[in-house]
Amino acid sequence: MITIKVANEFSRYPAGRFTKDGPYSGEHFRNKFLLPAIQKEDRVIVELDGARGYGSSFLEEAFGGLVRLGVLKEVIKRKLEIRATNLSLKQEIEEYISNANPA
Amino acid sequence: MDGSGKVTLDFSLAEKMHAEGTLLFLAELKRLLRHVKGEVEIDCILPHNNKVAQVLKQVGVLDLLGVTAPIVPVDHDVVNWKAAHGTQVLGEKYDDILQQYDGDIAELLQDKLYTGITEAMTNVINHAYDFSRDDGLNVAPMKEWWMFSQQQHGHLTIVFCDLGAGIPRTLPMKRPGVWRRIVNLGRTSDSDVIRHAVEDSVSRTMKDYRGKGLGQIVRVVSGITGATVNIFSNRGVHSVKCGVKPQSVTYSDSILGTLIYWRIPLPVKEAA
Repeated sequence: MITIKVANEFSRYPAGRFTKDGPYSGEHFRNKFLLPAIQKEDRVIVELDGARGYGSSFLEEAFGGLVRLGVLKEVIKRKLEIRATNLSLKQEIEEYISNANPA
Repeated sequence: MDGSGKVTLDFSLAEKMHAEGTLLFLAELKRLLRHVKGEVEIDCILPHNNKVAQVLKQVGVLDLLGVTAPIVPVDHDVVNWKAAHGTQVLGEKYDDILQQYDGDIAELLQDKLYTGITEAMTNVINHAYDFSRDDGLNVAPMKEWWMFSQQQHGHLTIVFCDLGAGIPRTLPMKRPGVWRRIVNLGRTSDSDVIRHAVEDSVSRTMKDYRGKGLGQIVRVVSGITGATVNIFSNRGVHSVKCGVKPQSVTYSDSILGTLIYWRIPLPVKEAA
């Protein structure tokens, strides 16, 4: 099991979709933290509290992007746990995963 | 401009600087100065109005023009003007202009503001500069944005702009489905295009994973009585005020870019 605290381990300022957008994009977070964790660990806890906020571009690319990279939705749902005081973030991420399609 | 190619910016009669106009002016000035690369001399005549002079100093216009006059911003309603500029999506820039309001405005609003501003940055980097700008300069675009915040009369004002192609020019390519609907309705003025872009973005489901940024920009003001967001792009503006029917206007002139203006009432204790 691994716990990823976004604000501490990645950035307090997550923003943007693609790596070219800026230093703390959804794509960068996905490739550096999420994807390796999902591939290696049986359980991945992502703690969202502490960051300034999360735009749809960041969240969709980070989490929905896992599906486009070929990770099975069932695997993501089984392994991933989102922890956030703002419960709407959890729901938003779940919907991005559900609605994403493999590339 | 005189016969020698020298340009003089005359501020002598300027009496008031509005945040949105000042931000566009600063952005255009920076762009032009970069374009002329020192080959055109640009100077200025200082304003008679001391407040205007302080604002020009505070936001960096006088420094850009090489003015050495000893103008020091001291007035409370001037020194709280904060400016930021970037060529990437840089969330930390949010704190440069808005961290001072931590504790003064609700955490949920801070969260929505951060989201709206960083989505605006994302739009700039991914869409705004994908087409040439119709200003006749033929300048290679830099994907850049500018931002101000200002506190005045009990309200927090945040202005964000780019000098890109504008929503009315980028939408037909970026969102062809929305554009077809607009064409079918026969209402293709700039303000109509902005309105449809906003409405489409707000109503997007999670399934449509692109194009939600405008919705998050507008959602900043939802549920905040008296809060307003105006989205100016080229000749149009679309205004959304909490609890009031949105309004759209098309002007005769274009700002040649996009400017987002949020105005949010501050809690009473901060309004003094």
